[in-house]
Amino acid sequence: MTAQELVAKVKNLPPVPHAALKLVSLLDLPAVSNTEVVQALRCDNVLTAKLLRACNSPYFGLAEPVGSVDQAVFILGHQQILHIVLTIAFGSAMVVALPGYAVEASELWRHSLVTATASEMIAKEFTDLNIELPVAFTVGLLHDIGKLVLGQTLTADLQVKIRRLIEHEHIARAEAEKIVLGTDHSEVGALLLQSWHLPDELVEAVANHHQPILTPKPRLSVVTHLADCVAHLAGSAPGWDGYAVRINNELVTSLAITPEQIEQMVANVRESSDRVDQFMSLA
Amino acid sequence: MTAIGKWTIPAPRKTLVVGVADMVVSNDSSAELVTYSLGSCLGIAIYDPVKKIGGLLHIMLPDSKIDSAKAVNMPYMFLDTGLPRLFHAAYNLGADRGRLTVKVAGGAQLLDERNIFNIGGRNFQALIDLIARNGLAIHSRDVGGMTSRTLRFDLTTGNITIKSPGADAYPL
Repeated sequence: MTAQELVAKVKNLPPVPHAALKLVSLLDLPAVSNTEVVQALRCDNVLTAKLLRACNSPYFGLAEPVGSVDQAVFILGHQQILHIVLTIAFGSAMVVALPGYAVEASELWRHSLVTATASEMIAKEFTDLNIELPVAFTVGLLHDIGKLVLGQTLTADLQVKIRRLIEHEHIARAEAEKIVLGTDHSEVGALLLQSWHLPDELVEAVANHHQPILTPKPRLSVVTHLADCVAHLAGSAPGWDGYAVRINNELVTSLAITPEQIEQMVANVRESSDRVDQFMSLA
Repeated sequence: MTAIGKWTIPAPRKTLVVGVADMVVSNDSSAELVTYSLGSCLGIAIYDPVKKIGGLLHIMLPDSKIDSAKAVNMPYMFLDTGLPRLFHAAYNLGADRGRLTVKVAGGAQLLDERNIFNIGGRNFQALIDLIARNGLAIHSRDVGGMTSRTLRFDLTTGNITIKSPGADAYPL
């Protein structure tokens, strides 16, 4: 089965608002103005209404309630707005149970939010990688979206085969998927992003989040891989095979990562769990 | 038990949830302690079967030296700051050191040949060291592997069950 065939098989992926995808595609531009953000959102009334409700929630602690997208973008800034819009847009799509992964509803979504948070932290810590924070957040949020497709299309028989491989051969989930299906959730996820015309940088990072690209220079997938691993260690490892993830050795060497560094990041991610809970409640 | 006609309705069981980097110690023998999402974290349960006093600690990391500020604000995040507090809280409720059983679950590991990310293994090693240094013993354990666990601890009996996603629960 190819990734294309799998994606084509999926009939009922919850729709993601066009305005949200437009906003993500703005990440490709060197600089985004408030006007462009407002224009992207303005065409979608439902999303706008949800956005304003979220902005006026106690979490943001605004002195005066905001009544329009212009105002919201002006007061909260477009980075914050991107976080809220993505949370609203993908939250409803990703709050589903995935029996094939033994993942309960909301677990995949929480893992995505924790990874997004970790991803921002890593972009801040490894400044040499030169990754912008909104890009880091977005790719963390979307890295496992291929699991939505595989969760729907895998037959029980294939699931058992994947599970046996992981249990008996002690290999990573993505490797077992590749052996049994000929593709894996990262490839499928990347294809989905491509079909939404999202920036190539994001597509590449989702495609390679288990085999990050380090040469000629480290790419966004490096951040995604690390963030995914840190999220697992911070207790967000959904499914029975939650820890069947292989750490990339070259990446550890190339960035000279120490155990203490990893432990510090895990502690920091735990500390930001209030923020994750807040985002969970927005979706 | 509440009696309504010939039917009896058992009183709802009190469940105390222990969050990540958190601890609960109780002498309410009707209660159940539960902690979710034990991945590389460790759930450490101690129990005095005579006084029916139990405590459950959910630590994330082996050593608080990496962040002394967090060790003050969140002492249950780390084994070295959390474990002494677990025992002292149980002693304060009247638990007897000689009777306390120690059980542990968690410590899952990612596939990491270089062990840089092996927090699960480091957590368990730190526990073994600290327990041994204090002349105590671990009575049973379910540690390692690639799955996350939920731990339920019945304070009436001291029984503990472990459940992983997609698998049946089993006693620890």
